[in-house]
Amino acid sequence: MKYIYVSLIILIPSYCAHAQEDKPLNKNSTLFALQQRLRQNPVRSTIAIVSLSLGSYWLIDTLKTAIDTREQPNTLKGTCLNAAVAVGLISFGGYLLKPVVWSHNKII
Amino acid sequence: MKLSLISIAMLLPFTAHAMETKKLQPSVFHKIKTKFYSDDPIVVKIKQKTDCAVINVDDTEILSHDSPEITYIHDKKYLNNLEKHPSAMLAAINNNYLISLYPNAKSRDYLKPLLMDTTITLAALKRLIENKNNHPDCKPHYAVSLGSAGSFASYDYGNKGDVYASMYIAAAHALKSKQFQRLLMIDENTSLTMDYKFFSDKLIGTFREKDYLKSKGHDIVLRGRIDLAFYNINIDKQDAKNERLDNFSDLFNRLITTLIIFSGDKSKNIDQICALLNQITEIKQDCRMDLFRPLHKNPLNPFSTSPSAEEKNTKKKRSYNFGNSISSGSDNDTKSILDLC
Repeated sequence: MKYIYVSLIILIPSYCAHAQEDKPLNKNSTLFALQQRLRQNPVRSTIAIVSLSLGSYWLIDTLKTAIDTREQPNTLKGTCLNAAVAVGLISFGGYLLKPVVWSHNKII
Repeated sequence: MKLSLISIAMLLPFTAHAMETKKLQPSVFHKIKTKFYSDDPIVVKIKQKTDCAVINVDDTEILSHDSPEITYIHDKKYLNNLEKHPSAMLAAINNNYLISLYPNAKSRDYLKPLLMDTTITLAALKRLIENKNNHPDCKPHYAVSLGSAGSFASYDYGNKGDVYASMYIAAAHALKSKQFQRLLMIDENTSLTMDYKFFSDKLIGTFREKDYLKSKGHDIVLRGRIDLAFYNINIDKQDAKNERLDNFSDLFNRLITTLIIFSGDKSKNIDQICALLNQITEIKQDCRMDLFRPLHKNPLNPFSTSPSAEEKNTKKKRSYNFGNSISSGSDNDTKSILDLC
């Protein structure tokens, strides 16, 4: 699971940034908007993607752990802490990426 | 290399007084020579200050979560969670929620020394059984483990860092070996009112109150025959010295095979450990001396073969002490030693 996420973290920005000119992305797609954003502000977009991917991975892992350790006492607070971190990461990534998704029509 | 140094199990030899036994029984329990790591301060001090043979447990002998000894006590779900989600489990066990944010790989490293401690306690018990079988005349047998007891493992309200219930794992092994039926557990950390929620169902039936006697402190009431005693000494507790010595005196007078486990901060209390080991050895020697006392003539009347009043009292006391062992009818070794007396 974590390998899939790591791959996504690396591949999505790379794919967006280095899409071939002869095979352009669909201008209505979010990926195209991402590509534009990556070219305009690569640091912010990359941080956003990494944060979103890591956050979603963390959240899924936390849920899985919570289900597995539900009979073990004292784990609830740790689970809540992990979930809070995961939601925080997702929120942060979403906050950074929001203009990309919301404004891709304008970019077009 | 350094990990191996953590792993020390000791078996205490019979020292000077064993010579007296030699006259009675030709087979004498001897020191077990094994390699040890000279740079470990605990090993060096114990070797310098005591007559103990130090036995190292190798890293290759370390137990795993699949080991039958561990699965016999701990629930499979508990072990699986430790394997898959060590950070979440350790956070709950240590009552420190920040640990749940640690990477699992790092948390797994924390488990290895704990498993090693369990291995040491188990190795000490195995050696104890082996020596009991090989040298039945050298009672009372005892071994010392510098591993851990895991007193709080499986506690419902926080395990205080104890992941594996080492003492109970060893106890289960002892019961499984079918050489011991009644166990006594003396634990300076807890009053043994445990919740076995995460223990395997297989042993719940065995560890009922009637099967072993709960006791703490000096007021040990040994009802019925005790085959094996586990004594967990919290070396950080400085105020329990006299109680310990009294308890050991009681145990050794009854010729009870004893596994002593040192828990607490051993590196800070090396001197106390050495002193206690020497005291335990002395107590054992005194007990054996007491055992063979009737062989000596009455000092007040060297020509008399009848025992003096003092000896009568001692003998009465001793017969009371051994009464439980004899009445059980299965402790032939005790009988033979008493016959010799």
